[in-house]
Amino acid sequence: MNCTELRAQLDDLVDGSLPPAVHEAAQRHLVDCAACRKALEQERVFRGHLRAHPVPPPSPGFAQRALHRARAQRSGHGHRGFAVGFISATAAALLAWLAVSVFLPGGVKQEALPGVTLTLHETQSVKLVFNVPRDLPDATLSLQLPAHIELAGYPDQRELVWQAALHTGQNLLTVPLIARDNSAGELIAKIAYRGEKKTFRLRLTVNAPRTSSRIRAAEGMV
Amino acid sequence: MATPIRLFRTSRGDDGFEPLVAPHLERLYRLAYRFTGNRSDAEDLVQDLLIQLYPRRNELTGVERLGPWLARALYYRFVDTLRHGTRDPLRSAVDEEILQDTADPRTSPEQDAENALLHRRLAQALAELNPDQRALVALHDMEGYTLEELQDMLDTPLGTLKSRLHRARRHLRAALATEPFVDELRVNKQRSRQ
Ligand SMILES: [Zn+2]
Repeated sequence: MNCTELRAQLDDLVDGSLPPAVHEAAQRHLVDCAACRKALEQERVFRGHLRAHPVPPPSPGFAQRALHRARAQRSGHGHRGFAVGFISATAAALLAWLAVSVFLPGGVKQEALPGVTLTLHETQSVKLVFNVPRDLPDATLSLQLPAHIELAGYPDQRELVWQAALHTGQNLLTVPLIARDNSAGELIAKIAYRGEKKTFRLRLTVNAPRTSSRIRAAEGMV
Repeated sequence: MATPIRLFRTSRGDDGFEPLVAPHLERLYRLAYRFTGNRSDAEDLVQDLLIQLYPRRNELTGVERLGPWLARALYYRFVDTLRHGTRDPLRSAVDEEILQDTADPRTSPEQDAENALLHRRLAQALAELNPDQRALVALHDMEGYTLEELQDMLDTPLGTLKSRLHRARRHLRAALATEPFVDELRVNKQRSRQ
């Protein structure tokens, strides 16, 4: 290898990306050539400048601010009205609205029809995730339960209606349910906001009490 | 009405986005600063990326190596932003305020002045590169991603990466007046012919 060849390989030499044979030839040339040793040293100094080029810290609180803003708006959607955002989210992501991920013991996630299996006479928390495209500060939520399934602590209440603030993204609602017999049924959840309404159905099945290998909880994404 | 239901928990981090992304923010900002050359554009770039990713947060949980994945997403965001002309690449030339802050207590005032000059020239020269070159120098020469990693990350063949880096470095070296030893090379060649 002569000087011209070595200079042509200088980038790769510093990057460590020369094939072994070429690398060896370069090293042999460097032993005898002070000018190329100097060029190599100079290249290393130059790379050192690049690595040392300063990065000032971000402005105070940047990380929290950035995360907060990311949650507060959807990319490219700005501040659109509820109806537009709501309907487009439903149309574009119907599956996401209705799909339920059932979490089996051991963390195995199984995509399934929206359904949860309860164990007879045991209180079980069913998690519903309402995914909304923008803040809904005064939405009306309602839950309707089938006859044989109770909301823990409210045995006679078949329907609950209340006002809630939903925030952009996922809103988690944990509902403690007890099955009183083993017939199947449906939990119906509704979100209403300024004339728009979304209905979500969750299939509830009931198993006889067992101690292992049952589904403990389920997460429904509305 | 009062309900026994634990009503919507939407406090910070509940949606899983923050724990996923927060550990990578420092590096992302750093990279964004390398790409853009100034703090406010770097913050905007990271912010844009987070806004873009938030609705896809469920997808992020399935990403095996999130760091490189995010760096790649940031790169594409940067290149897209410049292509669509929403940011002025020349605006980012030099962040004067920052350069004032780089004085090192272990060095002499003369060295500080020299370093500041060097940083300024380098910042200027980086701003003159095209976005692809600049991003590549940032990722490889500044942040230490290997060419093999970048081949996958940027979907670009190794040869293209190398020649792009080569051109970029030539421009930067010239700006720092460290284009190596043209004269000596000529002298040396003559000598070797003798
Ligand atoms: Zn030589």
